[in-house]
Amino acid sequence: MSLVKWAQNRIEKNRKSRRAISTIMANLMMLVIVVTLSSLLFVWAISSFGAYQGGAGYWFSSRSIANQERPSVENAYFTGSCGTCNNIVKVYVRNVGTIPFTIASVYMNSTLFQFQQTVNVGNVTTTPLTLTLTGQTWAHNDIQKITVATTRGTTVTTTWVA
Amino acid sequence: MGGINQMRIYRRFVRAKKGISTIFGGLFFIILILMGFNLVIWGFIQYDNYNSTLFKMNQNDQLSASENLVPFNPGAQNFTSYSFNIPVNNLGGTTVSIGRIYITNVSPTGGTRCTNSDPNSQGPCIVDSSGTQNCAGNGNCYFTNGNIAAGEINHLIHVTGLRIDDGSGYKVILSSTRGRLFSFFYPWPVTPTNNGNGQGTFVTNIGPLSIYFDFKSFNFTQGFQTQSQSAFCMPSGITSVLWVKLANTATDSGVTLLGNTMMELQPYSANGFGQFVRTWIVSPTSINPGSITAYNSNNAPYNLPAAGPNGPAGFTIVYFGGNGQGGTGGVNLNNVDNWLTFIGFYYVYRGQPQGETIPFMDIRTTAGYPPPAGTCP
Repeated sequence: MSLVKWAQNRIEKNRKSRRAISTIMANLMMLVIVVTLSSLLFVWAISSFGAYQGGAGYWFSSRSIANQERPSVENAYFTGSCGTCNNIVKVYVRNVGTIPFTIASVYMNSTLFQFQQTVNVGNVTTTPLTLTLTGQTWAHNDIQKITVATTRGTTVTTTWVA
Repeated sequence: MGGINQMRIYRRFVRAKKGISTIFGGLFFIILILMGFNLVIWGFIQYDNYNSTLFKMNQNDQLSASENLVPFNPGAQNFTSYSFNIPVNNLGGTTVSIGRIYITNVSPTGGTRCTNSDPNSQGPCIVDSSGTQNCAGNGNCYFTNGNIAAGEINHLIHVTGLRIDDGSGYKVILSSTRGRLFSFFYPWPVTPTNNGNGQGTFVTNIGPLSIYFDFKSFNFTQGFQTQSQSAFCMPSGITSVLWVKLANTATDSGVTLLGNTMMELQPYSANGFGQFVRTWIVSPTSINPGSITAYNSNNAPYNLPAAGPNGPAGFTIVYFGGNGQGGTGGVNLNNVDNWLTFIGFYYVYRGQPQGETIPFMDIRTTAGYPPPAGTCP
């Protein structure tokens, strides 16, 4: 019974409260602002963390994979389509890495030659990468710089004497 | 008593300053912190995976760098019909596995094997362990015994399907499975000795000239060879250029060779002067029969500079391959025989012409060139 009395008194006190409607509105406003800001913060945090994880994850995974590529230029054979043409270079590339790679391009002294040849682990290019020079020739005893690039961005540069 | 306790709990609850928003705020903050931790841990894991990949590949690179395979003289040996051995020493710190052997003919002589003109190889001869190319028309070329343990010396890599002792000059590249290349030239190049020191053991000194006759200094080339071989044993019936190494030991004047300088060779087993083979000096750029040009003592002479106080300024290699004075064509020793050889040097010394003859040098020609080591049958 005492509990019931105490509750009745309390309700009576509250009913006689001096707080006006503006206080309630202010509280409500603050509540709305806090909830909104916190929601925005939450959404921003989720999206930022997700974006970071996506970008960093892609970077780490792609770099990890690319780092396992090891192209090795085993041989460069300088020849020509005729006796004295000196316009063909055959390049042999071995995969000494731990994953297959695809050769995208070969540069000879900064001249681009495009290819699309996949080399499995431990293997050599099934057909040599044949660079047919146009408008230029290689010269005996000159140093030729040959760069091989894969689709993942791995490059290896070697020098050969023609 | 029970009612009083309930009332205390209610009062505490109703008078508590912390509202529900505080609890939610706390939870919210904790969630954010946990998300941050999660992100950091995820980053660590990713970075650790990346590092482990780097570490693994670095180990491979270190193993690759510790390979040190050394082919040694004569480069290729034990020739049979279609096979030979490549002797190597593994002086590195790890086992070396040969993945492929590239053999390129860089100075074709009497044949086009392992060149672009060869219909079999259409480029360099490729020798795999499994045999993927019929590189010389004798069936697929392959090699065995391609794994060389660390510290192993005189290891023989057996190559089957071709031979490279036909007189051409070959560049041989041994490619390891880790991507390292080890190469040598066959026939094994000779190394000049004495650096022009005129007091060496195998030197004849006549007048101001020192003429070297050790087996690394008196050489020949055939075809388009750029690396010479000892001329004390030569192939018969092959057009060649002979190399003789000279130094000027006079300190008071240089020596200019004249076009009369020549060599005369007589086979031991033949009678009559008609059997002589004679050849004259050719230009200083005539290193092989494919590049012979006539000698002109005015335009491009052999000038041997005067010696200094410490000896000759250096040696000069003189090429013989003219079929007459000022001629070209090379020298051809058709007979299989020993050849009694004279060299007549005619030159200008201190502004005056002068001549000397080097007598009684002996060389031999053979039809079975190159001969087994230590012989000239």
